[in-house]
Amino acid sequence: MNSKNFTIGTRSFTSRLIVGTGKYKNFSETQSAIKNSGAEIVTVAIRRTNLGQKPSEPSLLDYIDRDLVTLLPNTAGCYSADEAVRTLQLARELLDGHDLVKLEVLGDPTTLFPNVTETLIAAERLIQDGFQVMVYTSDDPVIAKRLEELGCVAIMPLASLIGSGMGILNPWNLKIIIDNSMLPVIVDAGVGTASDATIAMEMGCDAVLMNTAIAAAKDPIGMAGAMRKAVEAGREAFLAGRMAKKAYQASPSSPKTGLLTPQG
Amino acid sequence: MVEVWINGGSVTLEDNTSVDSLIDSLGLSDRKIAIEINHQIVSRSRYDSITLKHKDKIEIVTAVGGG
Repeated sequence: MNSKNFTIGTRSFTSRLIVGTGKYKNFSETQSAIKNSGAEIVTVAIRRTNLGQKPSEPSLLDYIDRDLVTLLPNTAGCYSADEAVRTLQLARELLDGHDLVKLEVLGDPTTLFPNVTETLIAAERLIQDGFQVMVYTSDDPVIAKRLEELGCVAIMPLASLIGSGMGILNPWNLKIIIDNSMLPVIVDAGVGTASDATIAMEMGCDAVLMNTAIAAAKDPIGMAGAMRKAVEAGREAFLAGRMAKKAYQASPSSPKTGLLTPQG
Repeated sequence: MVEVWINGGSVTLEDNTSVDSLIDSLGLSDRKIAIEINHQIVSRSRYDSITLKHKDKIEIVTAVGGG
């Protein structure tokens, strides 16, 4: 397998950083951040149009070049399988039959923890309807496997709560999911800074999805570049294979012989 | 006249208003949108052939920033 590429469903990508488009100051900043991140997949939400809007007012899609990036419509804000399926069917109509989607069904408005039972129901219905489903889920390895068996195309466990920036709170669960999955595993939610993304990639994640870590940085465009490098560095370190950890035995990097004062 | 619901708000329309002319009157003709009437998605090719009926519930959506 070419280490530079990875495949999600029927599509192949080079960049392993997926970015969101929420919480930016304006569309121009969104556009610059996407560009600097190098992301080839960009998430969008589906919402009612603002009916008071003037025809000349800009809209997000005017700022995204669909020849350069793949849109990933999400179901953010959906609390039931019915709502999520309905939202993505509208997204497919909106985006001319586009079938690659991000499913998330939330279970709690404070923590935004996923409702995994509704997620399973929605995933099954969407897959039957011909969608390629990338699925946001908890870091439960059993649920992750079940979603894989249903036919999802990527498993996207949270590292910590959406928008929290708390990093990877349970690396052991994440590792179990990575080790057991035949699908791309993508950390979705919780990345706060570049090192969090690197750690996820060093652990063997196939990609990282983030929004707030970039959009809420003091300099979002600068952070987008940092995240691109962080994901690349983590991937390269994973492929290179880290040294073994030696807790109790130090090992000098310089020769032990030829010292001016030989040690006895 | 017919009364319909658009994105949760009540709107009064002339009889036999087509989806096409509604979109036009809302200034959405050049926008990327998707439309649902009474929970059924309406494909773009049918905008001119469907007329809105009293109490229809219309949802008009687009893509916005999100993660």
